[in-house]
Amino acid sequence: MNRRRMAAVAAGGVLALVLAAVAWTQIRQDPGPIPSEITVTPSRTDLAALAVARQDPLAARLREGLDKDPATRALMARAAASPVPVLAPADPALLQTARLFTGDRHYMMVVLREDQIIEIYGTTKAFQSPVARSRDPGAAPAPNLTTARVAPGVAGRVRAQAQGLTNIRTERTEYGIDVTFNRFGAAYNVSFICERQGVAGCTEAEAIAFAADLRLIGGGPQ
Amino acid sequence: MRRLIPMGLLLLLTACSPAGCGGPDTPPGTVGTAVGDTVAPDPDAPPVPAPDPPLPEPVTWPHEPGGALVPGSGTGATDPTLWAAGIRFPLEAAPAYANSQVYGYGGFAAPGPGGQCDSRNYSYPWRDNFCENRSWTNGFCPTGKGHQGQDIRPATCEKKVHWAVAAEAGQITSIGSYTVTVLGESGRIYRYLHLDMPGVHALFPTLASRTVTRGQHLGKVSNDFGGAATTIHMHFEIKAPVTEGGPATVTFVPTYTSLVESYGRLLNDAA
Repeated sequence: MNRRRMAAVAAGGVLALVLAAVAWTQIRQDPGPIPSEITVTPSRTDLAALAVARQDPLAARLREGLDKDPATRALMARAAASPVPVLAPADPALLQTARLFTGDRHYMMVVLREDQIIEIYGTTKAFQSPVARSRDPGAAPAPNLTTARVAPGVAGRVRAQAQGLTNIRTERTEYGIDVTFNRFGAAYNVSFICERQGVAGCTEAEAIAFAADLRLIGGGPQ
Repeated sequence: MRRLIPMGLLLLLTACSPAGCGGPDTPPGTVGTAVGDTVAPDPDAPPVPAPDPPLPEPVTWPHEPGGALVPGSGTGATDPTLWAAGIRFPLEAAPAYANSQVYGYGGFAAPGPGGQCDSRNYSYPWRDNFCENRSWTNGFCPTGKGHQGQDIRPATCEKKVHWAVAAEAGQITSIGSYTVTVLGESGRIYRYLHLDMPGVHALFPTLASRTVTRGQHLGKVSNDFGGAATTIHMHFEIKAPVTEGGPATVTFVPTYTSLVESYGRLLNDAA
């Protein structure tokens, strides 16, 4: 092997080492910023809206019925203890299928309708990325969390707003549709898992109407 | 010869760490002992403890960075946040392959001939496919639309073999015809699609059985899709309340970076 060939082999080896070192540093890179947890504090307006909702005659009748029914009494006790205002469908038939899961500053109520699972989630907790706090013009663009804000013409939107829902958004999903909104200072999400194409209640308008009709059955700051 | 000198210098640079060429065990200021020097042992010196064995190098695997989708499959999310730091990787065992079903071999927009079980689909590197072209709404995607989770193939192209596990402790809130939803104690919502659903129902026959621990079996990866079938993979998505400083919004969050972090721990026996 002449000198020139040896030099070429050595150069190849060095290049491979350098590339491996670069790849290694890339693999071991920082996994990413970790978001902090924030507890959402309701405003005075939110608390006033909550007080009004607690006086709502329809919701009061609903609560009374659920309290009397042995099948839903335990659910009502858990709802009352929730730190998050618990919104539930007003339809007693749906409530007979309800299961309530409560946690640290969040809850989820699941009800079943024909060919449809409906998950109502509420929370007073939020995750905030340090990227959001330190965002500058050169940083990655902010997620557009208002992308799916519901268009003014969509049926049910006016009624939902009249009920105090704000920041109403819908998201088409792989399995149905989600509606998200804010109420009483908390964040809510209603997922409609539609088990087959064309299931009733899976259109955007129907999803918003469902969210607008949710009633307060308990919970929230005292 | 003139070419060899810079080569040699480059080799020297590569071999030496920024702290010098003395190696990690050489304290600063230590003067080396020349070859041939003899050093008499001090009989009064306490016995020198055996040095700790060096830490093993972490196991790693090739993976593309978050947001780097298959070229032509859409524009990835730019947000680097680990929205679910510390989760258990949602498949029990490695290897697993995060990549596209649609833009992989055998997919609707495949890069070339081959089937879904093509070995190239069952190889690294990983690929993000959150925000891959879809008509579904996604506020984290630059276009406002895109895939809402990450597709993951298990170790082999076999259904009903590989376990999916709970990403964190929580409650299974619903089991649909091809969806399993877990509400984590953190308040994050995890959704697993396309598991073997009869198997899931058999594991969780009653409502009382649906409290799960981190890493608990949820079901086996399959291709269930309601009445139809899809490819053998698991779609994994995370929804969480997010704030940018204003009101919180419950939204799909980028999944890939959290999966990379959790898979790294799985490979290093720290799942």
